[in-house]
Amino acid sequence: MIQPNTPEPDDQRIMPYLLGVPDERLDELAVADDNFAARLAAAENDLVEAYVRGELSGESRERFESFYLTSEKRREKVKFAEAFLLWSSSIPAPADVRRGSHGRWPVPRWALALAACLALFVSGGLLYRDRRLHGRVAQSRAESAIPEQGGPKLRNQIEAQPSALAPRSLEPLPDERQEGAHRARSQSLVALVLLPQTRGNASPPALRLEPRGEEAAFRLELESDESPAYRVTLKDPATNLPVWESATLKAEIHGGSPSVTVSLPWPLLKPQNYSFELSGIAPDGGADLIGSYAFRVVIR
Amino acid sequence: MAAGSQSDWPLAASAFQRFLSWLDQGVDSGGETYLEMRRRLVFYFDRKNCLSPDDLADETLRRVARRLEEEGEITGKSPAHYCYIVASFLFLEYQRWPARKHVSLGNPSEFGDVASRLAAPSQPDSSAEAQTLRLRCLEDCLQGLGRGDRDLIVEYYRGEQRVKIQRRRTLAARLGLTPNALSIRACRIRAGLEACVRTCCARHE
Repeated sequence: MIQPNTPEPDDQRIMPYLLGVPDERLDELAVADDNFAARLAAAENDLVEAYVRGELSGESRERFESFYLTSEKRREKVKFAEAFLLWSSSIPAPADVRRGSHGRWPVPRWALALAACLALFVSGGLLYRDRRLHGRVAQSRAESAIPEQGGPKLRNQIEAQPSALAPRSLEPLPDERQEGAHRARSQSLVALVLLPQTRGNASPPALRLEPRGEEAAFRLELESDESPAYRVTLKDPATNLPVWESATLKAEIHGGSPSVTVSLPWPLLKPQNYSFELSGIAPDGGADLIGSYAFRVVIR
Repeated sequence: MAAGSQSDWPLAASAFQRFLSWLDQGVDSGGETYLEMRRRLVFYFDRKNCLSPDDLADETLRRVARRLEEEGEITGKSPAHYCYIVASFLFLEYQRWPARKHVSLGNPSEFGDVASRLAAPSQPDSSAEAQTLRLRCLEDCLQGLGRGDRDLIVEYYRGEQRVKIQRRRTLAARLGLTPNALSIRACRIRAGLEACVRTCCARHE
């Protein structure tokens, strides 16, 4: 295959190209030049990995979602990357494996099951345009995603939150309370109580996540429990697009106040601001927006 | 097949063999060059958001093979560059086809509503079963790799951003490879894994 005399384009051109920016020269090289085709394939894999790990932000992430994810083939690469990331997160480092005597990789089946559950949610983040599908994903999650020990542990953590958090305020959680939330966090869960959003300039409360391996739980406090059921939509305020949607939920009483609890897998959350929109679901299926709950994610 | 297609012209086995040899340029790759060219063409059409990149890639290769059969030889361009030229003309042709002919490239029922195809993934794939199946297939496919390849692919993609970059440098040094050679090797292993997982999932669905 040809080896053009002209210098190869630098990496600065490859990323925009992968994200849909037209470039006829790169079109040509991608087919006709061995070296460039290899570089491009490697860069594409790294791009997809970065997206799945939540390392893309701003315009790159936006373009990834508005261009890259519009193709079934490209989505397939993302699904593979999700599976690979989840699988590789569940095994020891190769160096450790080499020191062992096992011929097979010691992947516990529970890890695969957990990874499968997490993968379900990662997909939810990618498929935000298909609300009906989100409903199915969330429903499946509600049925099976929380590990056996996760349910009660999660509930305990949430109940361990201070019950008198500046009611109906947009003030961020005091640092010590955030730290308290962290102390209450198990290896796989981190919890945060959110209050309905009111007018004000205060920054939203922060949820501090480890780069991976956590599930984030939120308790959304209600003014009053007037709907038979609720649905929570996670939105990206920068685009106002839904990122995830819960199944139908029931309110519960915690500390004398009604609230709705949702939990999300960490891969869904990037370091940025988010808001939950809580809707009441009427018996006829109609939805009414009740309130918004803002928060921001900080990766530790 | 859409207007202007030549896919209904039968290509003799001997002509196909000749085409493979021409792509290989004298070094028998056992069909690898053909598969690699097809992969690149699929990428080309997919990046342009064509509805059926596989069909367009196949059509490109058929046209090149046909031309080779008719002319006896193709000179002045490398095989890869010639394939690119044919693909770019096919893409221009594709853009002129009415939408109903875009979807006629393959099985019409495969495509359905164009907008929903562009915007939404296939639904069955989103189920918990599909995710579990993908993970199991991945595990099986990884078992099928040699130990060295398995360690390499896991270590190559392990870690985040700066950690990953440093890890790759260390890995390349340990294996006695340049960073570029390591990247190509990791990419080939990953492509093989992706194909294996795809086949495995299709077999079990």
